[in-house]
Amino acid sequence: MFTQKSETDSFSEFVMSNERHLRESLSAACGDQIGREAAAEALEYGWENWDRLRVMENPVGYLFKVGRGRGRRMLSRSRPVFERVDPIRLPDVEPKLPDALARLSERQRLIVILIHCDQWSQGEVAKLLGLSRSSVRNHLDRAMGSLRKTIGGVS
Amino acid sequence: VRTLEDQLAAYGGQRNEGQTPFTTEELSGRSARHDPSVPSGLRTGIGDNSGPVFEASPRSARVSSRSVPRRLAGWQVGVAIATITLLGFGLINVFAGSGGPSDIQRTVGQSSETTVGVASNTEAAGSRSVNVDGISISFETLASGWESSGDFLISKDLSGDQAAEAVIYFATFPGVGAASRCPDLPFGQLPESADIDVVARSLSSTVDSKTVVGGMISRFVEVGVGDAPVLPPTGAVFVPDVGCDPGYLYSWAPQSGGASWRESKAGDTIDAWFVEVDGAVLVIVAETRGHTVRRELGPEIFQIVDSIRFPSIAPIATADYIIDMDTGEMTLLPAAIRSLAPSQYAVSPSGSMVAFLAPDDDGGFQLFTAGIDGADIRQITQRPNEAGSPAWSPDGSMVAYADSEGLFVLDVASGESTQIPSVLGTHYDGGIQFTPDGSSILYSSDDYQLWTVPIKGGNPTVLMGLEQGVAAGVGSISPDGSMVTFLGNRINGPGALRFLADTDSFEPRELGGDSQSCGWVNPAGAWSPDGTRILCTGRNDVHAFDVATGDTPFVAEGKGGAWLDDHTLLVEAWGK
Repeated sequence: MFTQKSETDSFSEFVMSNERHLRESLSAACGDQIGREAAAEALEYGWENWDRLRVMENPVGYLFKVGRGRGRRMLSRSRPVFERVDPIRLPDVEPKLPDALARLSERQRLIVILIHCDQWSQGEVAKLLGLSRSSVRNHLDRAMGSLRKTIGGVS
Repeated sequence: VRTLEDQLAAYGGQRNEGQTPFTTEELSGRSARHDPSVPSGLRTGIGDNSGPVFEASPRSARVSSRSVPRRLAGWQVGVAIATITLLGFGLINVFAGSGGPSDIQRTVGQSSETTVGVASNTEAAGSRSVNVDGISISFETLASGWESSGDFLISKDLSGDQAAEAVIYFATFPGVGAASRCPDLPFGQLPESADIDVVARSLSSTVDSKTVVGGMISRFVEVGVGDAPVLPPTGAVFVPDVGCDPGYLYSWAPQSGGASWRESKAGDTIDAWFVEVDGAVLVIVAETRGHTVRRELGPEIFQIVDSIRFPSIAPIATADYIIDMDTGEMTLLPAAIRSLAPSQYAVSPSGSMVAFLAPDDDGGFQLFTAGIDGADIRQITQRPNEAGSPAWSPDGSMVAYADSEGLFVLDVASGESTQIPSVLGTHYDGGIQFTPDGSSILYSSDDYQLWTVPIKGGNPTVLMGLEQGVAAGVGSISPDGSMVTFLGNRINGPGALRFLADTDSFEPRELGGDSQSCGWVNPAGAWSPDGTRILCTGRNDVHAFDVATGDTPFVAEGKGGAWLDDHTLLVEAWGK
């Protein structure tokens, strides 16, 4: 049986090292605001269920699924919303980029945002989504192709 | 021009700059919000930039649901071992009993017990359909592990020897079959046609509420079977231990592999939805045993029920409804309106008309108006780009709206739109509103400020923004013009919070405590006509912030809405 102290400590450590991944992945899936909300709910859930989660092989992946379920619900059927491109700071970033990201399929969007915006490794994304690295790479190629078509960027 | 990869990286930098790690206060506040009477389980620690630091509470902390039966509520924590009970309605099926292959053994104290484990993933998430007495029902399981058992039920099996932990069961009334009623209910022998509806009513007339299932208004009741080791979910009917063995409401003969499923026992929670479909009363029953299981699977159950659709019923219609907040009475909006798949309602000052957004024949979103009774539906815009954010003028003669080209005022009588000149960068998604005197439009700009601009032209004026030290959007002025509310954050502060400011001082103040229950709503419909309350959306539903008391009670289930009068809301339902 775990003492309260060790349970507390281990959960704090878990949050310290995983909060960013959870937040970034849910923001990529559900949009900035709802993703953040979903991440908070997922962490709350993780806290309440820590005795079960701590023994899991991939608790972040599990909490991601929890959060995504909540996020989808909050989104209802609307598209996720991403922060607008700041035209002053980023004059050469296509303003349509956030909308183009929102129009990707959820899986493609996650892969593009996590890898190119949030600088995750392909392996990290593969682990989160339970995909092989090669299929992450395939999705990434396709998503980037579709993005280029939408916003007319150059490769 | 930068490469797409570089653009994404730069944009990622911008996005992440605005993303602060969760603070202890934030998570702590969330936890406390479930039940203010419970000490927060997440205590403040010393934060740094690498992430939040906070302490988990002892496992005995309670996180309870709100007082209104609702979807995705938090559930109480309890140490309960999972078992399963099925509440039957005549139609009995064979349950495939199996311990999940990936169940975890956890040692509790000295004894080894099988308890909640990882989902056994025997069936993947996805779309399902069932046919119950000719009623076709489709639904989705977002989480994997839900198994079909026979034609009428799905179950999720997370634990060891009890075969399953939760079931969702579909049946029509009246049911006949192998189930027999429990003979020992405290309120006497049930009549032959008895059903849980009758039972629930005889237990309590105060707790059942209405919700929307598959686009239809349904009755919902939550029953907690009593003598539980931990408290039943807040708001549930609490049935004392009726000593009804076997079975609380019904019992049935042992099924192969499911011998322990015969009884509803103390500690069980039963959710039941009653909805009339194609002339038949359908009941959807979900049962869980134990509060750990409840907390685990409750949200999944509610998600599944929320995804239910009846293919025989107008497939794209919404279930938007009008609710009398005093009585709780719900009425679906006329089908003529709902079938247009409307959203972003704005109610005319007299309450007799609505303007809304809906896809037109080309599939683009345009504005429509209709009588609240569904008469005289008109498409009022045909913008090359999609229109949005309708708002009525105080005299009801005009509807203002936004599209990607700017802000427009449309004369309802003539149908003519006029663009408002000299608008500075609108934030299309932020919504707009007429000022109370009808002379100007309040809008949110790209630079996170609230502006007003005269509809006949003239310089826009900043109402709220950087000068007040806030980034502001989705602003809405009270009917008497004395207050403005908006969503935003203090510069470098957390957001988005809801703020309120008096229009004489313009000192913005965050709404207290429960402000995260008070998120986006179309600004044009935010203030109650008497100016005492602000409508807003919470995590999953609609709340009304009381300006005088600071309370933000739950008022309706849905994703948005607008005031029809001081006691009546038009609510955008969840789902399609």
